[in-house]
Amino acid sequence: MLYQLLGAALLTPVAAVLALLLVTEISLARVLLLWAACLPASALVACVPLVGRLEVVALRELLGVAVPEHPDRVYLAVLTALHLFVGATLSAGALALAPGVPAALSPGRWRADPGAVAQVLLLIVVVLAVMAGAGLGQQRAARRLLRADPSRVIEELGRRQSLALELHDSVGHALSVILVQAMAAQTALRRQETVPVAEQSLGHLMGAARDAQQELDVLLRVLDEGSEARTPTLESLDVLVHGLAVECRADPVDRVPEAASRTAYAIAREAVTNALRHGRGPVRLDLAVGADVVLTVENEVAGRPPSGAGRGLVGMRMRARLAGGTFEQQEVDGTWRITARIPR
Amino acid sequence: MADHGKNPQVIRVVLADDEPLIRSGWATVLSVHDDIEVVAEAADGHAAVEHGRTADVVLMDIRMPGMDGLRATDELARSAPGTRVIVVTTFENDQLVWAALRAGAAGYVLKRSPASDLVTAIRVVHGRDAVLFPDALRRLAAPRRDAAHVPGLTPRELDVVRLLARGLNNTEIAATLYVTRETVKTHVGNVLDKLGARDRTQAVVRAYELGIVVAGESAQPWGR
Repeated sequence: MLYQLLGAALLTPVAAVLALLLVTEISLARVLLLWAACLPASALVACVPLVGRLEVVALRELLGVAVPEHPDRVYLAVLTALHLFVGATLSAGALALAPGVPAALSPGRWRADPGAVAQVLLLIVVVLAVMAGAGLGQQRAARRLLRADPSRVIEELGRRQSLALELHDSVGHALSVILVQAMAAQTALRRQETVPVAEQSLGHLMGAARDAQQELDVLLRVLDEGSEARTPTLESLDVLVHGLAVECRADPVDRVPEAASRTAYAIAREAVTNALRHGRGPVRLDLAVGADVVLTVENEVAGRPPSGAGRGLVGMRMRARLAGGTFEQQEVDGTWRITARIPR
Repeated sequence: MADHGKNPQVIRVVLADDEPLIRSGWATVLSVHDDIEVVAEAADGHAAVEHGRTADVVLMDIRMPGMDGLRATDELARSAPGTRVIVVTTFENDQLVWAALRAGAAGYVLKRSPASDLVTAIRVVHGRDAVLFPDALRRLAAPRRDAAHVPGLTPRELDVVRLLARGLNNTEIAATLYVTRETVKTHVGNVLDKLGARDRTQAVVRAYELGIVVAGESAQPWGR
């Protein structure tokens, strides 16, 4: 309701000027002309940067929409224009009805003509319902259009770029190692005394090929999950650690965008599983929500620290990097710790 | 065993790559060539600079932790002008390769290049007489629209820089232009001076950037 009134208020100065110019006589045609002229006027006003910033506040505070730091400008302008026009129309409608309302609802009138009063009451209910309904519609539109990323195009590009980076680093690197080791083996095979070197090179070659295939396997699995979007979000963190030896401390996660939330949850799940399987004693999980979502999972090392190319670690690193974030693993004084940083 | 480090015929090479398996593979490949000796391996840019100062040629990976290959190349170009750097890259359309050439690398090879290319590259840049893989250089060439000052080269110097860009060495340039090798050396010296270039590779890079030599230029005034 307040949201619609704010829209009307923002458009009022312009609408008033237009009214002075257009409504030279009070006739239905003139008022409809004014109403039509308000649509392009709304679009123009919506393009003013200050109005855009006000709209962001209005969407956040009045409609409870989680507007990202840098919303898509075109979508924001469309939403603002819609807000101004719908708000002004509904408010003007309510205003036009208002003078008649006290008289219509007076006790005398109620006794004389209960049917007419009921009609007025019904009209008020209808106007209120339309305002609320429009508000809900605008809220849905805003949530759909202003998602966490500036626009879907950039999101898609970013995803492709991280994918290219990931392929470059894993498969590209492995192929280089394979080629260079193959050349070394070929060279070493030419002389009897260097045959053992050739054998070694072939061993390295096979190892690199195996690692690359495993990384590719994990990468495809992660991408597959991403497209299906079936992974739970951080909201399910409680369910994940319930009944396990995990000390969990987490900031509120309601402001974390869905994609980042899914990634963080998937990493948390993998990290906790890893820690319980390979580590010793209780697992400490910390989830800090600031400019980035920072997930830390640690526990004591049991025996040998995990090797660098473990399947779980590869998966966590790829998930973090595909979301534009970073992933680190380290062992300090017998404590094994992973830190994933995912931008919001 | 050869007299290590003292034979002037032997090219002393440093292998810089953060992947030990790449270094060991190259070391094996190069070990069968008597005129090439791997004197050190480096896992990052700092070690590459440290060992590179006293070497003839450094095979330099671009992406390395700590100081990367670009900065290490720049550092070596300034502090050890006697050392040639060959940058090594996984992918051909790598923007960083051109940056490395501008920073003073004498050439580049791909990690997938055959062993013979690697050996040729080391011998060519050590000989300093010609530009390494001129075709590859031409493909990478990126003329800069903001070239403010184009130094005045004489027509003869222009001929020389175009032939350098085609990968010809002094003897070949002398034969093409019907002049002596000494004259060619003088012209090359002047070209390097005027273009502010450290070596022939840099001169060609600068020439492409300034538009003195146009990438894809095939019509030669001197004919074939």
